[in-house]
Amino acid sequence: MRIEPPGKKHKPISLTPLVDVIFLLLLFFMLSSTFTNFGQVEIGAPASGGGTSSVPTAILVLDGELLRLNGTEIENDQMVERARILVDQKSHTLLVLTRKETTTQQLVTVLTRLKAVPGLKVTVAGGT
Amino acid sequence: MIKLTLKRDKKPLETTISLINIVFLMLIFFLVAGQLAPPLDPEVTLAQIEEIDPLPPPDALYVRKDGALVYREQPITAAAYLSEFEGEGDAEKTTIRLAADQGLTTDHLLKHVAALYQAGASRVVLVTQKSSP
Repeated sequence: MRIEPPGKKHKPISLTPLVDVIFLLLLFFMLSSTFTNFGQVEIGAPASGGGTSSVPTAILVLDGELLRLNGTEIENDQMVERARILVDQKSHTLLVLTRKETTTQQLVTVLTRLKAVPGLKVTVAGGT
Repeated sequence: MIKLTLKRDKKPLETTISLINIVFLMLIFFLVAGQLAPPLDPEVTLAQIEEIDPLPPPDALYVRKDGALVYREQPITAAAYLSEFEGEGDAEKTTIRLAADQGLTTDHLLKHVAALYQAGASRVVLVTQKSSP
């Protein structure tokens, strides 16, 4: 009788191809994924669009870092409070007018802070 | 003699197992924590805000700092972008995701926004990112 040696059957599987594939997957997911948190800010149709939109009852002028609400200069941290007072006085539409030197970052900051005021409708327009 | 050769075989195997373990853990981490994203425009730095209204990584229309409209690294006009966009989905709810550089002047930005609305967009949304603390 011939007896086969029992050691041959338990030969371990080679792990190299497995490591290869896992490493490729890791590389793919590392390169193609992002950790940035994206957000969105809605920007309405420009006020110059036509007569459909109602006449704004208040104007906020953005001139670089300066803010002017209905002609009077206000501080950055006063803005939300002033906007709340405006809504209380039944003035629900605000036109944000931007001057030339204003950057997108400044506009976005103002828009997100105004979004916290309930009942206020904001439209954006470019000045000269 | 046979026992000695068996011991030699086992030693290199154990080191590969720990390697696989760590690589596998990293794979799981990136799978769970990251989000697959379409490539961002390398020249655009998004505006940063503190409180965000979250948005999945967008395949956005980019506006570079000099005011150029770019989609998938190709210069494009607002009308051309919208006609391409309408071919894909429903024309009624065309939400345009506009990713503008943070240093872009607002007259450039508003010109593009007006052009997009004129070309038939129903909603334009600015893409921002959460500022790192």
